[in-house]
Amino acid sequence: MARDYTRVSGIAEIIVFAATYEEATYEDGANEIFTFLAADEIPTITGYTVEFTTDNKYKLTIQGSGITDTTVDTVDIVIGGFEQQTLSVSSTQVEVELTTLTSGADINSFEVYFGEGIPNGWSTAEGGDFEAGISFEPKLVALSTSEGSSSGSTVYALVEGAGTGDGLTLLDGDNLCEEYQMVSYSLLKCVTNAGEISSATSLSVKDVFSD
Amino acid sequence: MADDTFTVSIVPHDEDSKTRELNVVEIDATPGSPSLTVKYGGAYGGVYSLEVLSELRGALSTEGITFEAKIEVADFNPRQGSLYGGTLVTITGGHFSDTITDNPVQYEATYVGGSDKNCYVKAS
Repeated sequence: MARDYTRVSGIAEIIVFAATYEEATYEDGANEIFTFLAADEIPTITGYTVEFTTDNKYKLTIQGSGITDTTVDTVDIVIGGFEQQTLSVSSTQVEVELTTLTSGADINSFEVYFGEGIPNGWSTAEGGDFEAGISFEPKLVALSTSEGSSSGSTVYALVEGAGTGDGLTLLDGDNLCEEYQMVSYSLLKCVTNAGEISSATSLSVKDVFSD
Repeated sequence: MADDTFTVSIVPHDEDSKTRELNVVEIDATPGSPSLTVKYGGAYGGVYSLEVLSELRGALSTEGITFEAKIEVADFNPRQGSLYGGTLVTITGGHFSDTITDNPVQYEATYVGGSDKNCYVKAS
């Protein structure tokens, strides 16, 4: 059902067309009536919070009210064009885990669909902050190895909140990677520079395009 | 049969419609049960006769064989949704295409603003 326009609540007719643009007929006993629900008959969302959990995952909690005809299986939270994993649903909130994204640094679209469709409070015009989109800060979670050759090694890093559209590298103060590439969501491939690090060091991740 | 070339068409009973040639995608020359598989790209609703021409044998008998082109909606669910859109509606019926752009869906409603009457077909 089209997402971009607000309709007057009430009935509408659903029309299905053939490839020839002829209208489909309705079988005996069937009818074409669809009802657009009034604003007080659908859920309302009021905002969201983002946290990076102790499980090393980004979790979003959407607050709202009247969320009654929706379950984990019927709610769709789509960020950056990708459906994310819904963890739980109650009448006042939805918890979502970020599972994939093309770029965390980009402003990603933030779409919310309950069983009824788009809720009240999504659009900026309604005072919502969902329509503006969302971005994520990359979080370095783990490395495939903590040791490597002084001639250079390939290291894979788990970086939550970043995808193939992000240009990230590993730092130990300086850029550690001669080659760096986000090969998929949350997976950074780094070919380290030749050289030695005299002792174990704590690494961080950096956007190569930032100052 | 395997060495033959066939032209298969559907001829409308309605004089206002056009004869449509179908694509022959497979010829099965199995003795006793030969067959032609054709790809049907859609046609205006109505009843059609079948016409099969063999390059080697001429017109084959298709007397009494008819084809009816139609599209029907049996039901859709849910029957209500948000005034802001975004409701996933499943429409059931017969003779839908498996190409999502072949069966556009629209609805007639009164708008507060805008003019989008289209539904976005996700799967078919």
